[in-house]
Amino acid sequence: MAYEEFGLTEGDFYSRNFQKGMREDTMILNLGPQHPATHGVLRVIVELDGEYVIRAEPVIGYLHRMHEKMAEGRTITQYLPNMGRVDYGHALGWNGALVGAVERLAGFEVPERAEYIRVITTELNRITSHLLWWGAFTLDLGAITPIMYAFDDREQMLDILQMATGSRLTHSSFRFGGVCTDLSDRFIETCKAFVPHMRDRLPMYRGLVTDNVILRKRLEGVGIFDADLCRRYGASGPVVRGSGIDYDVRRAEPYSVYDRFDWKVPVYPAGDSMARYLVRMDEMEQSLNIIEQALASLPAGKIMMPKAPKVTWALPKGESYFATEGARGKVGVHLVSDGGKFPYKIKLRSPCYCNLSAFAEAARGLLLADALAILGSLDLVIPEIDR
Amino acid sequence: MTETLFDGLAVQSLAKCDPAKTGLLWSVFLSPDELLSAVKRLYQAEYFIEDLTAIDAKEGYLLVYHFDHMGHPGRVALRVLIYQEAPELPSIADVFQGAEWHERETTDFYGITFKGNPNPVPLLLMPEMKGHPLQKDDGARASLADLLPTGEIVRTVPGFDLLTPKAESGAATPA
Amino acid sequence: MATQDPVIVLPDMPMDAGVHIAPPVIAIKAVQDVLDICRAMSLWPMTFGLACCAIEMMAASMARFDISRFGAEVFRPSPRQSDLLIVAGTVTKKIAPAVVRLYEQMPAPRFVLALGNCAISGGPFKFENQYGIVEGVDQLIPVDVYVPGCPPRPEALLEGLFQIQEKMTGRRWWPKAEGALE
Repeated sequence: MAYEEFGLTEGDFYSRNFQKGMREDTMILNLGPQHPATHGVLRVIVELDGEYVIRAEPVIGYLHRMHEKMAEGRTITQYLPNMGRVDYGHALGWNGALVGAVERLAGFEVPERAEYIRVITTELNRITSHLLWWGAFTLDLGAITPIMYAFDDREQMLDILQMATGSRLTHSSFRFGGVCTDLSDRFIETCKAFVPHMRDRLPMYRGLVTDNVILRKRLEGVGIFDADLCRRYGASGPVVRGSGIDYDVRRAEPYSVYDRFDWKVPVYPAGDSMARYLVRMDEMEQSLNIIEQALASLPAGKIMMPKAPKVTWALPKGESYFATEGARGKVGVHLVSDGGKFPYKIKLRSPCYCNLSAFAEAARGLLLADALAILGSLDLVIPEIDR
Repeated sequence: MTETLFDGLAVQSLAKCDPAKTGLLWSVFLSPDELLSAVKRLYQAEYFIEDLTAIDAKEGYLLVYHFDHMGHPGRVALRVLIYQEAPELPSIADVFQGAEWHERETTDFYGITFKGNPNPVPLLLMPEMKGHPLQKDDGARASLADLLPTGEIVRTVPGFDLLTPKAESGAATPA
Repeated sequence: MATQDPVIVLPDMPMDAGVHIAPPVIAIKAVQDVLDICRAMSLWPMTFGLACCAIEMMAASMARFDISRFGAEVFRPSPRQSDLLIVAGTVTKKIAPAVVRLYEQMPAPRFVLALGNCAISGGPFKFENQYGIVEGVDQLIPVDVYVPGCPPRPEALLEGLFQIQEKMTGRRWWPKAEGALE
């Protein structure tokens, strides 16, 4: 091995581990963990033959913040704010999974108005998450303008979300048995005015970016995920819907009040990065439909169930699993309790973790620039992967 | 999944659960030797791997594999019990490549070895770190009967009593 | 020279860990003061977004909060081209060597802003028996300004930038917000 001959000990544990299977005529390149295009502290070690990726290995754990260990040392109510930090992009999706798992285990009934509030804020959060993804993805591909537009719309939505949840980014407004604050009249007014405004913006994004020939050349045919690959790795969300599979947790394992609204699940058959891109753009429009219908039919009533649990409440014994559709895919919370003060075990099932594990196989044989386009199209949020 | 999916395999217990209460449709207890055959059947039936985790209980480590189906949703939990003294079992990464990462993470947290995992290096923890953070102390472990729901048993081998509440906290009988 | 391996060329100067800061060419205080103001009005931050706070850092660089009004819009991905390291997010033990390495690669004068509770003290992830994070980036590198919040609003990041500028030049250049605490 060339490095050892010169007595140099290059790299660290992971790059030395990766070198073991190396060919003689290739180069190893290390991307990250500090890199403008890896969306956080993700490290990818690639073996290159010229510009072609022979082998890739994502190295993760640089943002492992011990969420599962923390769960065993906090009461379940104290654990709720952790969900906002697991995935800051779609914090309310994770909020929904944890409160769903607890409500399922304890048999809580959530009032109707609270479910509507949950749906409205979750769908607003989904749009902000997709806009953040869209801006960052196009920035990676070299387009510097879309992120400005994305953040403009996003700031308007963060102001609206702040009225309902109290925060801009790491929302923790769900509670076991309801939500923490009611929607004010100002929220309803602003949100109702915002929906048509956003709807008018989407055709502009299509004309400016989606139909752009450069974007299409970069994304069409790049990184095909077929159905078998998705199943072997457990991919979910826009990744499988961009591969022709009609699977959305809101329809497959119905929860909350999504079944009361008329909305479509966008599915594109191509399986390439362009299909995943189009799925997310269409999802933004569908989320606007859901928000509009929910606001129009918002019922009156309480926002918390009667006799809601206090901070020191202990979970009943048992095990439950709850899945929600996050912006990135199927979010799962597996909750095990022995009736004690703290949960016995909480396992967080992260969609990006499974989506990223398929990257190594999908990127084989592609140009390095295409491999980065695939990474962007997976919509990764690293704290969710590392938990 | 129909009850016939696991016909012919020596499952220890096959129970139907209530998804509205537990999120599971089927809960299957297996021995480590039957794990790969069961997983292959799930692959052929077009299930996808959801996650893989371990529960550190008095009786041992209970590995829980969650699978779901995109066309006919209904979660299946495969449960395999191994003992803390000999924490190892076969890897399923040949069938479901996504399990490679799940298994590496379980090794990080519990010290369980998966024989045949293609890249058994630490995934989330630092390679220099010693110890496995999610292992429980002896006094803090609970019994599986206190943790898991029984469900509606469809078939079980005689003598399977992992989920029967123990009268006194003594040594658990291996299933 | 003749004994050196022709394939590998090792540098001649000694490589120890000390930082070598050259004395100023013109050692007149007034000139140095003007240079300090020039540096403060055009800080080049490095994109070191680790976690959630990175999104608020991105928002601060976008049109609404517009950090470029105060000179700091040139975000560079390489530490060798930047003079302000904004540590935005939790520093884990796994990435700690990389943080120190990046700081050492920055040319002096360099400044560090710890953005968010995690960078200040470990934030919400500091608990008994924690095994994975560094409780505050100031355990690794010297920090000039701490901006608390989880995550702090972009306006708080801007205020932190003003504090760095005050540290560099000795005075505050921008008006305080109405009702701000002293």
